[in-house]
Amino acid sequence: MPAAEAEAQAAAQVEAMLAQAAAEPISSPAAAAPSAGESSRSWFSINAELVVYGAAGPEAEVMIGDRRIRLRPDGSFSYRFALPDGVYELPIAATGSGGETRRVRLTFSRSTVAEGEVRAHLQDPSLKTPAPENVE
Amino acid sequence: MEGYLCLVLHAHLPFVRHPEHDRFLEENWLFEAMTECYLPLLQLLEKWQEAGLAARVTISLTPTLCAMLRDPLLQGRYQRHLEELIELAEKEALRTVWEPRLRPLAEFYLERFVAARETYRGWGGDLVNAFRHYQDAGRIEIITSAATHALLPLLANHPPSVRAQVGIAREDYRRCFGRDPEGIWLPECAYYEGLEEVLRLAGLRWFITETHGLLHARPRPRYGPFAPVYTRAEVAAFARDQACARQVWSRTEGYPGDARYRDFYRDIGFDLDLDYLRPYLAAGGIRSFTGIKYHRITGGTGPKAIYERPAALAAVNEHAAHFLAARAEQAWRLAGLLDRPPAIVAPYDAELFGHWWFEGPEFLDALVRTICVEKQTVRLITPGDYLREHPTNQVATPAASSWGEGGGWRVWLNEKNEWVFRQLAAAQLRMSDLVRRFPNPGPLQHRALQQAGRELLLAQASDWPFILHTGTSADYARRRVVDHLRRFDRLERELTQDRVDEAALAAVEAQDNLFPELDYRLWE
Repeated sequence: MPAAEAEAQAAAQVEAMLAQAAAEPISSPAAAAPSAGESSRSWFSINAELVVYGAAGPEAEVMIGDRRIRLRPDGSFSYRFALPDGVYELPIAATGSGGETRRVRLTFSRSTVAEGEVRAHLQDPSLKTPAPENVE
Repeated sequence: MEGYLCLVLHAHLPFVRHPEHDRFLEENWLFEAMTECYLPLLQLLEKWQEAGLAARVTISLTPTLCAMLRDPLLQGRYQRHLEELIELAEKEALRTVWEPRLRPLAEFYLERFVAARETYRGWGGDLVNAFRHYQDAGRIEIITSAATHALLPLLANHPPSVRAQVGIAREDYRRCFGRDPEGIWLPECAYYEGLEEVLRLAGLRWFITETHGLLHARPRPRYGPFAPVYTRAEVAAFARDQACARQVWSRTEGYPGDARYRDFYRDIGFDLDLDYLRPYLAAGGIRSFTGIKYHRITGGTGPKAIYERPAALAAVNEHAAHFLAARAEQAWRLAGLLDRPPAIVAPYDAELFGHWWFEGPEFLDALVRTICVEKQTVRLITPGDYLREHPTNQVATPAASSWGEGGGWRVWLNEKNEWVFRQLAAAQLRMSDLVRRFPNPGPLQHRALQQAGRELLLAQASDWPFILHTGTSADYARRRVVDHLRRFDRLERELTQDRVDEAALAAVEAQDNLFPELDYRLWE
């Protein structure tokens, strides 16, 4: 390709890029983040959680389901469980420093009857989910 | 090989350190970036090193970020933050036991946070040293930036301020990385004609401008933004590639907006009962982001769907392949127009990858692995390496430019924040006066002059006018500017009246403790 033609092509390409850049400005990072929006119309949401709390002797190992839990320094504990509609069993076991194990099995159920549109999640509209351009 | 790809990750946060409070909301900016961006990036570098990949990427670590990462107080607070995050994730793994679609996600977060702790501990809590390790091993090139990320064109009417921002950054880089920096990230890619002379005097060899910085250069560069130019000061200027920018940042076309990716805004910090969350919220029990998010972007205006990790990873692979194919097409179109493969420069805020775009680190991983294995389309190169391979380049003077909205300075200088620059202009002149008045200061005066310099630098950060412009956390930004200028005023008054209060000085030194060896004579 002759040098003059190559240069003309390069210049044309540069012009095209400039026009494209001008047509669609690239904004700063925050302004380009994906958006989330909350409707301002009235709504109602409700949810239920379960608190399981207890305490065990020094050095005990406590399992809730298949997970060993952390105890506070005084041996107490408190854990929450999301409780969707249904029937659930929760096995809990505490093994003391001597190796002896004590077990409990708790059973819970929840059923929901709603009239009108009721959401399952909390999302207080007064919380004002931040607008994308305003989040640092 | 048809083209070079310069992947540049710009890591920056303003200096936010408040020893006067036990917990401070804005310190979470650092903690979130560490967990979501910097530690995952270090994990990637480790994996690439183990796999023997020639993954030469460029990382800018700003002096304010380095100061915070090396600060024992903030290191201790980060450990506390991470332990609390792990505890919350453990609780979530239990809380969701009867929510079969959420529980795997809760366990996924728990594993990630535990892995972050392992990486953090593995580096002894010193992430600056970790990045230095990868530079010393030849894996990455680390570059510097202005000392407190000041928008340099807005300081151009006071050259000593520009010299101080650049010179103090260079000295800080030496202290952190044990060598001289070759490249500099101009904050917000903001360039003005004549800046190159300051960079040359600081021993810097290259910088990056926004695309139109080179497109409007004089004379117009023959290869447009696809090869660097040498300024008359012999410092090279590279240009950001618009296509790379658009594919990632664009509101309509950008990858991070894909419906399969994790939603940033839907966070349990805003969804769950406040009593449950309170021990894990940064300050005063005010709802804030926790980093545990169970939903995907979804699209449309209906409810958000639950995040599905395999679908998100499939999107990552699609987007990495698309990005690379677009580079191949670019290189193919440019073949024959240049006397060498084009240099495609793709700079991004490092905090995009992992924080805003949760799957960003996985995207980088997929992209880098494909490039390194395929070896045909593009080769990863740093601008410094490029100049060693192609030392002959056109001479031109770039045009004033930035990567902010409108391509100039209007984000940082408008009706919401112009008061900052009127105040700065006055303080800058008084700083230079101080240096002239104290050619041979005593030890206490020396300390006061150094601290006056620190306060002025902190007031000059581009972050404050940016936040004032966007409006979120504006009170904090306003307070920071005012606090630093007040401290500067007091130090100046005490110096000129020859009554420096040592106890008060020590208190401010302990608070704004960056740049321990600051050379205030740069303001002369």
